[in-house]
Amino acid sequence: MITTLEKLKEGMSAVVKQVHGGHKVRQRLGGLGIHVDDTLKVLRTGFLGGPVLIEIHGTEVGIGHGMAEKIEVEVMEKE
Amino acid sequence: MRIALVGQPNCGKSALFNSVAGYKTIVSNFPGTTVDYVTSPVNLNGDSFTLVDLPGIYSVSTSEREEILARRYLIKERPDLVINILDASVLSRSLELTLEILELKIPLVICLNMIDEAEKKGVEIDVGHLSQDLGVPVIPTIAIRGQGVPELFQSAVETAKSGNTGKIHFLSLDVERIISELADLLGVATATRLGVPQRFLAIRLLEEDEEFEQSVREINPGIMGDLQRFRSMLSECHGRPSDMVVSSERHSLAMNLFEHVAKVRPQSSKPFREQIDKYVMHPYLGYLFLGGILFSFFLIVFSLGKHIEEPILALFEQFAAYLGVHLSKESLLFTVVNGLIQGLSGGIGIVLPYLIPFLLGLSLLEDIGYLPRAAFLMDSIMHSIGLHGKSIIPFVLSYGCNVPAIMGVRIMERARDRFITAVLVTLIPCAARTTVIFALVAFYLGPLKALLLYVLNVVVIAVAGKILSRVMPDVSPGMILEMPSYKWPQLSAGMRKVWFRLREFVLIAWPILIAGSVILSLLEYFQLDERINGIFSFFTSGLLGLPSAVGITLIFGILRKELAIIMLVQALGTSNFSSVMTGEQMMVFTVFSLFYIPCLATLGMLRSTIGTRGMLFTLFFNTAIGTLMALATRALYWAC
Repeated sequence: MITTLEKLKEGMSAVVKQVHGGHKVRQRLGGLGIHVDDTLKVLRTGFLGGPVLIEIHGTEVGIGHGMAEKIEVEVMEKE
Repeated sequence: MRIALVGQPNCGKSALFNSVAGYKTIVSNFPGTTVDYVTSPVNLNGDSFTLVDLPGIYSVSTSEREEILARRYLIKERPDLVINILDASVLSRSLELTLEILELKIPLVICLNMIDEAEKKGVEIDVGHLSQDLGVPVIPTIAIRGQGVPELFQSAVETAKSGNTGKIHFLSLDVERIISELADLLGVATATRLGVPQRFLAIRLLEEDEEFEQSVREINPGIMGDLQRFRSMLSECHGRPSDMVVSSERHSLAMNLFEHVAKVRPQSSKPFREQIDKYVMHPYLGYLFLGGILFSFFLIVFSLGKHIEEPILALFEQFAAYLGVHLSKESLLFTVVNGLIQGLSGGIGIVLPYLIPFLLGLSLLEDIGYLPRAAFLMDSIMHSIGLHGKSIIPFVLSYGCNVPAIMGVRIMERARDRFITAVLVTLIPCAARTTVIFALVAFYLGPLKALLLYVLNVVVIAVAGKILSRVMPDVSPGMILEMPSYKWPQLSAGMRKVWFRLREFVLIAWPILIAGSVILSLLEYFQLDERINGIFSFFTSGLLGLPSAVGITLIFGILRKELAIIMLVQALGTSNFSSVMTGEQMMVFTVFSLFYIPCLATLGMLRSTIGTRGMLFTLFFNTAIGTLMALATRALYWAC
């Protein structure tokens, strides 16, 4: 299932498929080690327009709601 | 010899810097604390060199202003050696920056910092292997404890002499072909003029780096067509923009390197951080914690402060009274000395009781690693007034005293956010203005009206925030904030941080406070208060409809806000305000003193945080708001 990051539920894992919205957003995410094909896990959902907390490469990163909307992900099936 | 420290935010650069250069820069557990670069001469193991602490950068290609500063330093100033500090606990990500730095061909040493954190996470790093792969020395350290630091600098000095710049790592073949073709086209001349290697420049251009693109366009406009062609070749072959192709390749290169040199042991128990964050970052409980922490922080700082402030002020008053006996009370000398004492006592009365506990508390929250979490929780709410989550700390503290709150503004990494928050924070009624609200409005007009004032205040701040963020739009693409792991605070580091921040307040704000208070006592001495009331009467009684005697009290209010009410007793000759002022006048007076010119200590702090122009702007901005709101209050009374 392809969706955007802010729609994921807590505990879901997903693979980054695309980063929409300009070069600056990609740069910023890339700097924190978030690239296409990376796997991430949602620790806290961005409810009420709040930011999303994800775990990626062993670090936790908070991502603002607006930016999360620009990250297209594919949800991984639970094993 | 110049040695520059380069690393990603929160990797421990400042801790390393301070461990050899003495305490010159703020260390905290918050990504992006160093926003300017700091240099210091260092003598170590018999070698002397200049050490430069640069702001943290996630990547060499960046559009953040503070990060560009670090990059420019590397390229334009070209240090003799770079120490690249890596947070060993996030090695794979940190290596991406290392790969970029290697392209710069500056002599390099790797500092593998927080090696203990990595071990705790179950990451075992083969240092020898990593050094072999990168072609430069790798020294494991724990900078905060000074472990490995002498070895690091010894190796740095040796490497700077040998000029070893390490190995270049190649991307996949088709990308490399395009890079080398573009590099050849760019030529040695262009790259040399920009002070970078050809290959580095080619990669930057393929990554759509604005700054380099601009420079190349100026030097060699003919090449732009070719550049476009190469970019579309890359994006067509890989189905994504060329900058993404290059950065993804570098990313997988870093991952491969990581897998080659590190072993990750699966962890039996959930890490400590996750267990705490389950509660602290909980969508509902998290706010409860945040509220509790901020409330108790506020309570501790300001109840503690009050108990210390009162005896200090009493002491100074005694001293002034003693002087009054020995020097003639009417003399000019006494007036000046009294003004000096008042300014000094005002300064000490703020610094000792409020600033020290506040700064200690703040550094505790910072070093533990709670601040980014608070920022995360508050992000969506603060966004509605054009700010980010981090502003919540200064906002809450401002209800106690604006001065420490403005100091707290420095935890924000962007100048724009610091400016807007600092200005808005001065609009919040501090403890002193609360006295005015309580003594006039709550006492004479009822608590409901006082409450109304607080609500009005929040609305005004929200609107002012909207206006300021409209004028200074937020260019950042939104919040992206790394949550550091929790760390035990180090008392000595915390104390030094407090001292470092305090010193600045004493040096910059005290002179304003003392000079202002001497001027005010001179006004009294020369009995200029009548004349001042006269000068301002067009404003106070004409525009705002207040008794003209309040002119001088409002001026004293600038010294210390509660003086506005104390002086009002003197100016009106009674402490029963309802006998000389109408309800409307009391309300107008309170509304105006709620917003107008911040007190001298606040102005001093503003000057040291957002500069003299920022301070003057706040002065006019707040006075304009005060006047506007006072007039609106008058209009409201007329209408009712």
